Amino acid sequence: MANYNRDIGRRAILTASLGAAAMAGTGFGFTLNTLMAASAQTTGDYKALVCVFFFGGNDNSNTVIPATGAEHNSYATARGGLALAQSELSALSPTGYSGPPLALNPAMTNMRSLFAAGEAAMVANVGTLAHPMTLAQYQNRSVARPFQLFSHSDQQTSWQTGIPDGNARHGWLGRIADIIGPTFNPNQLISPSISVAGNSVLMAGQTTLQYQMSTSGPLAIGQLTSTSGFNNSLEAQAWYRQMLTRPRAGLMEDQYRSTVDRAIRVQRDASAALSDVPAFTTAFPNTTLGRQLQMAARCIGARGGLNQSRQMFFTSIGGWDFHDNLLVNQASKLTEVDQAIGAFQAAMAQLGLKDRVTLFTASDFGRGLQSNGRGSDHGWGAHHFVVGGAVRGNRVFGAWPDVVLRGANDVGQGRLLPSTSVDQYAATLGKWFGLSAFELGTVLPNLNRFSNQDLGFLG
Amino acid sequence: MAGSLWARRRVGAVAALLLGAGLMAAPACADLVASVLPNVRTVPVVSGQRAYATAFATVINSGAQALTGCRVVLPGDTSVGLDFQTTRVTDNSLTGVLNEAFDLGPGQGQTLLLSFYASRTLSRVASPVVTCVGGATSPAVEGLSTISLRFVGDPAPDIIPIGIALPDQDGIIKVPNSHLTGVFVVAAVNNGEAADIRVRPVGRMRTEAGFPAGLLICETSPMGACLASPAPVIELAFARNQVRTFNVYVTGHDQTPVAFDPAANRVSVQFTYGWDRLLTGATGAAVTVPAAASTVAQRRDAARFLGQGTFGPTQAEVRALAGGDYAAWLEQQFNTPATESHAAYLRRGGPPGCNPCDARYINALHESFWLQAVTGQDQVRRRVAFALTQLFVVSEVGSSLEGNPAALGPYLDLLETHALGNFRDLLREVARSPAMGHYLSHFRNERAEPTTGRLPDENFAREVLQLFSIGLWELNLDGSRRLNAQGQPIPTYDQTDILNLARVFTGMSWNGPDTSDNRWHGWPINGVETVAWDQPMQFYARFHAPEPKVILKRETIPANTPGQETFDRAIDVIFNHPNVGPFVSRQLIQRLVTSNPSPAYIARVASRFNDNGQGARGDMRAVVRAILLDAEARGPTADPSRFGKLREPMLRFSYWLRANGARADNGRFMIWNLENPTDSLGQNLFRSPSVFNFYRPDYAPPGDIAAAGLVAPEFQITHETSVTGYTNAMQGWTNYGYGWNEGHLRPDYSAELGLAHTPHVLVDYLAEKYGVVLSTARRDALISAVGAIDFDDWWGAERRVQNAVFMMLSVPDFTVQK
Repeated sequence: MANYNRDIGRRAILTASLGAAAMAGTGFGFTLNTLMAASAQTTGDYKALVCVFFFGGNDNSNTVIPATGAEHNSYATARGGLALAQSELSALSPTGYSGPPLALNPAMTNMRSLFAAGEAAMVANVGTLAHPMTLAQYQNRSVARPFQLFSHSDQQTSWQTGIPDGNARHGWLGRIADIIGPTFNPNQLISPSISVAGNSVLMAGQTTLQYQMSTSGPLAIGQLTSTSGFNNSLEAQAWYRQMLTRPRAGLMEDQYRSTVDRAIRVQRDASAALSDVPAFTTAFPNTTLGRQLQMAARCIGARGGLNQSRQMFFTSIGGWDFHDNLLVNQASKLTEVDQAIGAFQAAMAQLGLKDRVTLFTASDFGRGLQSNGRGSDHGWGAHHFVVGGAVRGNRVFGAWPDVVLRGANDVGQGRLLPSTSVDQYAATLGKWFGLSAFELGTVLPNLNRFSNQDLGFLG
Repeated sequence: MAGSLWARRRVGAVAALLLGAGLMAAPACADLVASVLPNVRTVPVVSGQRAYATAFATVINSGAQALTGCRVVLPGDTSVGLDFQTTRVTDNSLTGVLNEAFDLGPGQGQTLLLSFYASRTLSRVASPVVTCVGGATSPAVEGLSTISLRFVGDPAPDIIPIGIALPDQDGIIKVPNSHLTGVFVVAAVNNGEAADIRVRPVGRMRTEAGFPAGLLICETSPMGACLASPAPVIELAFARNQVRTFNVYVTGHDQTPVAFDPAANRVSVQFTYGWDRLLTGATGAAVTVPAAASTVAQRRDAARFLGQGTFGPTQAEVRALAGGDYAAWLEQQFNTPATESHAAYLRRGGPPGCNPCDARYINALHESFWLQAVTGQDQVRRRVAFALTQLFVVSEVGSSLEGNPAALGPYLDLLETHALGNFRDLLREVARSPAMGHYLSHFRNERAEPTTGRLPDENFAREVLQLFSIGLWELNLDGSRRLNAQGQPIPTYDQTDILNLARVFTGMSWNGPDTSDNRWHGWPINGVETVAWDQPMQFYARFHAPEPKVILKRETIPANTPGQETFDRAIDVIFNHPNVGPFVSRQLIQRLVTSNPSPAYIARVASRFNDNGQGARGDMRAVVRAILLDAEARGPTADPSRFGKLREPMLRFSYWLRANGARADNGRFMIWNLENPTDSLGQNLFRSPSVFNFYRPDYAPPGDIAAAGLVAPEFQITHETSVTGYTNAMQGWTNYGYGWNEGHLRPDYSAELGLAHTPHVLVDYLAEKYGVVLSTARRDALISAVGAIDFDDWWGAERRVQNAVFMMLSVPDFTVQK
């Protein structure tokens, strides 16, 4: 069972004692296998995936904008007061792209540089789909739609489970972790599925339990690391530890118990590895997302100490539900995202892991092109970014949609019918991460409904 | 014998009388009984010279036969000598001749002066007995008729209790009933050298390993006022010839009655000194504790009920309600008026009587919330309203309500005003609240603009359906999804419904006597403010969508119907949708009782929502009654392993505050920042990350709960970081209180401190107090943990109590409500 956190205590002790023996230079007990495992972790085959989730549904229309020409005019007409002026926009020059000139929101200066450097790409109009679907099929309901389009909670869940037409309790990164854990991380000290942003469905596997990391690293329960609170009674402390960690008959109690137990074990095992990671030369912004991506970068830096050659991270930033004050507030949010991603890429460069770490964005849904006066309403397809040295950068993947009301992809009010499904987006990431076609099929049960299973943004 | 003569003046007749009375009240004791007071003497001795330690004795012939030739002897002890002489009972003056035998008629008593002597240092417990002609002999009873004698070479303190006063003057500490406290007063003089003396009340009971009652002591002023809070042990510098007085509090607390058995069940006060705690004085009295008025099971159930319906049980409420009528209690709660509004607190800038009244900003609203949560009498109303803050969510986070008590105070007030009213009013007032209008952006939402194609904002229209009233899928009465002919669930609405409903919520802005542009925009009119957070939004016809609106395909509101009428009709359509009963009932059950109510439970509550029994729909009292009095909430359930819910972090905190009567000097509850999961609760009032609250009703953590097809919403904010943050935060708060300075909220642990002497009693007490049921193994572990902290260590009692409370509140047996 790849149930990483229930059995790591023994492994941790074993690993720690082997490590100590090696450090002491005795050589005893330091087996060839250990050497090989260590070398595999410090060189060669390391990879990480980092999700940045925009909670609330980012407005796609003002994130990637037709920069000039007739397309810009039709954008400006449809958006009215929400439109960004042509003068603010500066077109990208994507490789092999022949659509209308596209600009990023002016707040995204780092992303623009990453495009220019060939380390970032865009996937246009991606969203939840139960099946490939044309606008006519949407309208005449001849093909099943994802459940509860336009609902925040449901579409967040659909994006993260990859199963928009069913109820799942686990997500596609968690299911990837189920598969890669035993293969790539046989002696890992913590779960490969690390959330720096609270519990997420995306990171929950069928057997993998996500580890929730605070932005300052694993926290210790003070009463278990010091006896001073117990008037120096080791015995009292031992009894307390037992009270916290002994299994309970009730499901709720035992769930709480197991979470505490995991917190205790991982803190013990992971703290040392993290403390060995050197400081990053490029400062991360002191923002919610900046702190999260900094912690993810530190965990990547600690991959050797954690015995992990595959890691995945969940970070998030909330507050994108701009029914109101869209122009001002979206720019400030995108600035936060852009600065954090810029710092993260610099940190990956410092670690020499740019080619081995891929960051991608996701969100509940896009938003309608139509203005409601001050903002836009819940939509569907949206544009997302993939960032990293392995990305075939400065490209636009997927089909760029018509930015016009009642266009070819408009299901109403300029809400985009996705031309690329989350399954395809996820499969491309999973394939790069090392999953076989068969394994991708188990991770993404609807994938076989889509013919193109590799969007090509990872080389 | 200077010392003993000196002592004799002080060991007054009162003590001897009381002691005698205590014995006389003893039914069916041995025919001949004796007692000695004090029970400890320490006197200096120079080797080879005889030194004396005196004490008083009372002997009673409780038999029917006259006894003659009675003498006091010290059997089997050759190193200590004993003289005795009879005294007059009224003033202890000597009456007889030294060592002359005396007679005792039936029922007659005799007081005596005893004088023990030795010529070298020694330490022993002497057991003098009275023996009469014919063989009648008083039994030696430790602590009653024995005396601990220490003849010492070095100067030492000699603490002599000189008075013990009890309310009934009969020598018995009678704890009035199981939740009240018996007090007795002890006076003592130091007849020896000055010393640091440790004074501790000690209970003894024949049948129990530990004494099942709380024991606390304080030193008092001559007027009887405690000089410091009562504590399990006190230490004081006791000068020679100084007289000091003490109050001893005996608190009966659990199901173990203490019978009248003066030889066995006693409380004594012990005076010790030096690093090895040598006994240098003691006195005591018999104690009785009657059986409690309610059983453990009754109290546990009452605590459970109060835990579900309030911000946490208190001992007083539990004991008042145990075995009582919950329905009547609920009716009483329903009729308890709100203590005061949050708006009033905000206006005043603090609680009633504040000085200075400088509570400001959003902090003031948090203070008002906690003041009512902890001290408010209308607990059910407040608790249900708190549940409603998680249904009709507004939040400061990422919204224009950030730091705006003027908006949020009236919003909380409206939830509380209607929490025990009708759901229609709740829905209506929420929908036209300017706070909600700002949060879900229908405030100043405008009609469509055909020339630009702009449409009304759909935000509120969508969420009022999805989150506040009917949900996404058509429901049966029992909360399960209705299925169509193909076996598929049926959506409650589609995009067309949203477009129509969005039109309803247009043209709404600040309330006032006119609908001018200034008021619409919130600009002053002739210098008068138009912003009115405490008034419902009103309609501005020119911004209200004129088109006809089809509400949920159930009712068409014709074109150009006035805004307020349109709004009311739309609200009524939503309110009357059959989903509302099961949708709202399930979530309220989840907030109050259990995460996974059975379909039958939901159906029972929902049918009360649909009809309160008198034909009214949406009666919140009927709903609350149905939730809290339901057999599933009250009774044991078929599968207890699935029942219950993770207590919300804020409620765990409120339980602690209420259970211990935590108060600050300034009368405020300065509890402002709770939302950080790394060092606090990860939950705070009006601080959820989005309109989806901190957790969704259908969240299931991966693992056994999800595998069993169950949900556990609160686990959405429960992870490695938050459980650690909670545990550490609770450790700090339970140990040191919350906050600082004049706002420092300090728990009252006096009852716990009185029980610190006996870990199992303390643990059982806490389990009852917090309504926690511990398995035998967990109970044993907690007892062992508490017991491993040395009671006699510095702050030992405090550390035991603080850790016991902390451990109890941080283990899954508490964090999960059963």
